[in-house]
Amino acid sequence: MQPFEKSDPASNPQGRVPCELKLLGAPITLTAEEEARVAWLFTRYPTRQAAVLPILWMIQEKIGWVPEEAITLVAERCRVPVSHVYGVVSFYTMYNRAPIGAYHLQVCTNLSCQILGAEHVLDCLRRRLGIELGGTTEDGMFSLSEVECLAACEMAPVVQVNDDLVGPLDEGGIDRLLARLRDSAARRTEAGR
Amino acid sequence: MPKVFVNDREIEVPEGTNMIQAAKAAGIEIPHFCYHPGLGVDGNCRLCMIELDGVPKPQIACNTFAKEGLKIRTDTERVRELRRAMLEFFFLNHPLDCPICDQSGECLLQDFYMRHGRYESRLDLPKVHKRKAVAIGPRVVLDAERCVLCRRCVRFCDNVTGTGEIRVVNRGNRSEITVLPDHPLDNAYSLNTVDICPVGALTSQDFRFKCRTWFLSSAKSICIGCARGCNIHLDSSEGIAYRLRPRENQSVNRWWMCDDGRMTYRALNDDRCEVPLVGGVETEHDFAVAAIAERLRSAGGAPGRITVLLSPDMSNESLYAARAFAEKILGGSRAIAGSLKTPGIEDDLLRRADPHPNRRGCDILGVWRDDLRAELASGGKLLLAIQNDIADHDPASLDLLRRYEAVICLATNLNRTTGSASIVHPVTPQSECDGTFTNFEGRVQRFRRGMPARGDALTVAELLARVAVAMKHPEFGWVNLNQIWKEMAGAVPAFAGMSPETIGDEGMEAVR
Amino acid sequence: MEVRLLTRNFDRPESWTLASYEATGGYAALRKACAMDPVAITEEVKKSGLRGRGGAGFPTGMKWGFVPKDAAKPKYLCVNADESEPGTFKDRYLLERDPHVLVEGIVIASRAVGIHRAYVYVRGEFGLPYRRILGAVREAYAKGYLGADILGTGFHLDVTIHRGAGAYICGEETGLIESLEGKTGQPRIKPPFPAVVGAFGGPTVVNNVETLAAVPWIIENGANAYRGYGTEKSPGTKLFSVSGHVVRPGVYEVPLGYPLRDLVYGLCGGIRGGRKMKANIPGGSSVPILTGEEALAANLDYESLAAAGTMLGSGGMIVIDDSTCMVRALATIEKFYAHESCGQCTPCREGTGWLRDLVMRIESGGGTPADLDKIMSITRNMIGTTICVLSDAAAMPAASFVTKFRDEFARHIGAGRCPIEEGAHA
Repeated sequence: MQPFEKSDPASNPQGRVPCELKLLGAPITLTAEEEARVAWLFTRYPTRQAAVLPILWMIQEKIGWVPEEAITLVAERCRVPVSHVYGVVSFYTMYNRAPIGAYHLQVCTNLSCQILGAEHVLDCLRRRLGIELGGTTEDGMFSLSEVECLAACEMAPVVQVNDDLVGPLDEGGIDRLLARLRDSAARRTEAGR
Repeated sequence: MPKVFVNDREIEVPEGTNMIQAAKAAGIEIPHFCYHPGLGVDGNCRLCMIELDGVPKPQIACNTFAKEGLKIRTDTERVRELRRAMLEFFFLNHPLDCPICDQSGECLLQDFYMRHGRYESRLDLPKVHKRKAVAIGPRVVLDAERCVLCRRCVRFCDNVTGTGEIRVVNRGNRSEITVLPDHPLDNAYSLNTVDICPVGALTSQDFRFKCRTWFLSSAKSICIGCARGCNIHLDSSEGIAYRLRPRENQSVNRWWMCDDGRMTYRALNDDRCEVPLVGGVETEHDFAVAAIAERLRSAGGAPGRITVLLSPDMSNESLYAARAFAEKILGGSRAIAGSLKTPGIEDDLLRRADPHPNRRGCDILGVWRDDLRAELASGGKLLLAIQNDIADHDPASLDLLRRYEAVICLATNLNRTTGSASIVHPVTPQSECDGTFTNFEGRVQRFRRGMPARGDALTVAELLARVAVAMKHPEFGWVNLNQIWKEMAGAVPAFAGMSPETIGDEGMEAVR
Repeated sequence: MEVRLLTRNFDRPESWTLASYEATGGYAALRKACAMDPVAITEEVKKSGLRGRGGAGFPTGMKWGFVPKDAAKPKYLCVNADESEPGTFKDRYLLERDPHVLVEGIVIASRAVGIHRAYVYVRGEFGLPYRRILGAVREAYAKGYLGADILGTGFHLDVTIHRGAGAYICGEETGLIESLEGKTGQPRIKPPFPAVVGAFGGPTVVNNVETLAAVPWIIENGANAYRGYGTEKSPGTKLFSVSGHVVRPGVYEVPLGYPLRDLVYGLCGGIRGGRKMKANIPGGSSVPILTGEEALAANLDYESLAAAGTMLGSGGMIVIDDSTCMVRALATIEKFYAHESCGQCTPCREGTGWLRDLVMRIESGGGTPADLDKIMSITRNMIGTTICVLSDAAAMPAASFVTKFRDEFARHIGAGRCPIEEGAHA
């Protein structure tokens, strides 16, 4: 039987925990503005615990994902057990547990999209990007996920790119989308120089 | 109080009673996992569904509360079908671990299947696999596949200890209880989660693979870890103690006990004193009794030469008998009790700083002395130490012991204290005899014999009676426990009314 | 025949702005409501027969009436903008194109029930809808329609937009409340009901976006005018989200009682490629499926659809043509419920996984004839036995698919693969 080892992934081959979060490797420090937002959030709800989801969103907006260090930060601020925050992150699908690409391609494979070719869209994206579901391209540009109904069925089959809906998509549409996204990323990098 | 009908059986229950409790009062079992009187209602297992007269849809019994005239049925075909259906869902992904699972024999899933299931499995798909045999803390082991997700452990850690270590993570049939590696289940009451876990998901590291539950006999006992006197079950087999479990007593420990208290069972097995020692040599019981009698006789004669050192680890009966012995047989020698043991941690739940079970009994019998060192400082001819591990609590006190020309120990375990004695005779711990302790609130609670006396061990009262015979005082002693209680009830105002009936299984409040 | 009670502003330029909303008489209903006794507002809504448009269809006025007048703890309004029922996208349209009608409905409802704190629970996936409702709320505060002393009445109301993070179960009333409180969205056992003990321990009303969006029109034009649309038992209009194999998918507002075939073949232009309507799910994937024939005979109101063995639900209609494999469609549905089950109670936690695995196995060719009766048996044990109705929502489609398309399932099992030639898609 595996003895209890703190923070040692190697000690239990079945995995340390049922839902793995990656480590950022550094403490998360909030800016003055972010602190102000946290303080404001506490005024919007009668309990501190209610701010758990909004603060996790704030961290994800800041870093792009929710690292293990975020769990402790949120637990301390909201005065709830660390395990509680961990349970929350594991329950919801949208808190990214590892760094994610610049463009998160979320492909709906629920009913309306499925009967209108979502599996082909998914397959096409897999081949074009050379990654599997849950993966990120090497250049850090694209991540690919399968998601549930996005409430955009009139545009089926639909893909959500970060916050924006794109559909209906076919192979041509996918190619145009990827080109557009690569282009705008390149222009942003140019502008940044 | 509202009257409700359980399968047409009328029963009167207090307002607010749920139907599981009401049925129990009527002698009817409604199978359930998630409800626990100490943890409240959760309504997730769905096993307790019953039918209510006049309500088409079956309801969960745990969330249905008594009101006048409520009629419920627990034995209809529909209820039986639902139970089988729920059990089938529980067993779908449950591993067939019975042959290697510690819970076997006291597992609610097994019990409910045998009583309410008895269907053929229809599963022909792979089961969901989760982590097995993971230590989630120093004392508790998790097997996530066995877990029925009743959430009792989560509610215990959130609401009883307030420590919140255990959490359900993920969702759907990937749900799993866990702790975070940096926040293990390490509170002082962690092993209660093992008791309340209805299956073998949470098990005790200490008890793991040690004994099959059907070999265990249980005795109703009292924990000796501190002055709370948590009511416990002592589980043993063939003279070996295997574990202690809490016994419900709403006036003392409700449903819980602390982890340290559970571990006190080890002293019942390890380093026991079983055979008398005279001059360090194992001897026959008769010889040792004669030797003790001789020493006491020769050391006596003048007052102050013999000190009888009692202990807050002794039962009320042992204290009473020893006090009487000192007075009547040892010519009025002083009998004092005290302790040099480091106090423990006290908390808001159960633990008391006083690390002994019967300080209060010593108070009541007027033998307690606050400053034991001062009391023993002047030394004397002979120290008769009964169940007081003074030199183990404080090694420096060996010096005090040496101020006596001779030390005789009546002890349960061999240790540094007995090592310094010229004569040692075994006496029975609370697991091997009947008796009472008085807890810090003045509650007189009975412990019952669970195992045969080891070796030549006798109760303190019995042993002193034999010594008295050897000292030409055959009139000293009591025939049985009832007789000594009768005498104590009459002689000691605080113990007035003391009897098996008044003490029962839940204890009796000492008269103030 | 489309009507424009809920959708009246959809096509206006910049329809989501306060300027556009006020230009067509927006917030006149709020002014009227501020002059009414709060009890009278609830009475008007009761009289109108408005029912919850999220899926449950519970009479709205009655729900408001359950909140005790005097409560020890503060009362709350939770707006359910967690729209996640597959096939449903009407709330998205309302949030994107007319968020102010929702804000106005929120204020009127809060005034009626005596609520001073409202939360709009927006599903985490909503990007544009979230930005639009946030913008509308900010405009409303600036104009004095929210905040302290609204329109000089002394009534105050604070609105907070609260984002979900990806969980269908947070569309269940008490799942939503749990998520709002900062926990996992696991529904609560009832009783107690939210109207008595809801968010943060206080009496709480949870209403769907479309439900509240209907309130301003009802207050402004009166309950009787509202009852002029729809049927006796299902008064008013409903937004139907139509998707799948229709020529013109989209959101359509029709009076309740409208014939299903007129919606599909009239407003939505019929089936693409001239194909046949093989099946129709009228109210979101949780409701029992109708065969094409049954659908042609159905009217779109609560009672008619119930009589037809299905439900109006959220009005999320998925139209399925005859190129579709029903086994694969059911597998898609059951994968969804197994993924979204919160895992709290046993029949749902285990049953959804079991159904998914069984149907997927049939789909991939490993099914046996015994599987069909097994599915029926499992679904029977999942209906009416759980804390919330996600279990029922997973069971009803499975039972209805297997019942109505049993032959196809049997052929699929017998052949060890899909017997239908799947035609080209989009």
